[in-house]
Amino acid sequence: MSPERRRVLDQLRLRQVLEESKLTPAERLRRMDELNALVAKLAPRGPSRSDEPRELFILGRRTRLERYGRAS
Amino acid sequence: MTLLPALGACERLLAEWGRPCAVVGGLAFVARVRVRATDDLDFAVAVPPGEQPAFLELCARHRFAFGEVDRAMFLEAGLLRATAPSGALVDFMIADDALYAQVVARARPVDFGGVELPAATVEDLLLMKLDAHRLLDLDDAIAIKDAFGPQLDLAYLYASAEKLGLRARLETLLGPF
Repeated sequence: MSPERRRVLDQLRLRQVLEESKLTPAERLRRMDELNALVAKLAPRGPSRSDEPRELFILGRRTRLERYGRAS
Repeated sequence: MTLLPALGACERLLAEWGRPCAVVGGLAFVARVRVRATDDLDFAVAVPPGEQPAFLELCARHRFAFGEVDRAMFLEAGLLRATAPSGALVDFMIADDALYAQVVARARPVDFGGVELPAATVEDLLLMKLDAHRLLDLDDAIAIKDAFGPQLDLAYLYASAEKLGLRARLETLLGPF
C-alpha cells in the first residue's frame, strides 16, 4: 500500500472514530446490534462457545493475580 | 443474535446480587467509544471468596443456562460462561485481582437504551486493553486515544500504569508524561 493511500485510509478511520464517539451510548449500541446481525449473516458462528479458549482466560487471570496481586 | 435484550436480565440479576460490578469488554468499549461487532456480554463482578456457589445459584434462578464444565470453570478459574434467557452469550468474571477490582470500583452508570448498568470508565478500558494486549485490544486502545486523547485523566492513567507494570505500553501509545 502506498504511503498516500495509507494516509487517506488513516484519515477516514480517524474521522469515523471521532463521529462515532460523539453518538450516545444507546445509539452506538443500536448500531452494534445491526453490525452483529450483519456479521452473523455473513459469517455464522460455529458450534463452539467462543473462539477464545478457556485456557487463555485462565492464563490471563493467573497472570493478573501474579502481576497485580489479589484485590484487598 | 441481538445482544441488547439480554441486558435487562443481566441488570435484574446483578441488582439482586447487590455487589459491585461493571460492564467490560466489547460492550463497554461500544458504550464508551465507538461502534464495532462483539459476540457476547462481559461483566466483571465482585464475588467474595466462598460465595461462588451463591452466585451460580442466583444465575440459575434468573434462568441463565450453564453446564457442569462451566460451573467447574467458575469455581476453579473465576469465569462463568452462561447463556442469557434471550439466548445471548454472557461472561461473568470474578473481579478479584487488583486491576479488575479497581475497574469495578470506578465503574460509572451508562444508559444502554432503557437499561442502566455500571460500565468501566474510558481510562480503565484503556488499562484493560493494554493489559490484554491482543491485536484487537491494540486497535481499541488506538481508538480510545483518537477519540478521547486530550480528555483522558493522564495522572490517573500513568499512576495506574506504573503500579500495574503497564507504563511502557502506555508510553508507546500516548508518549511520556
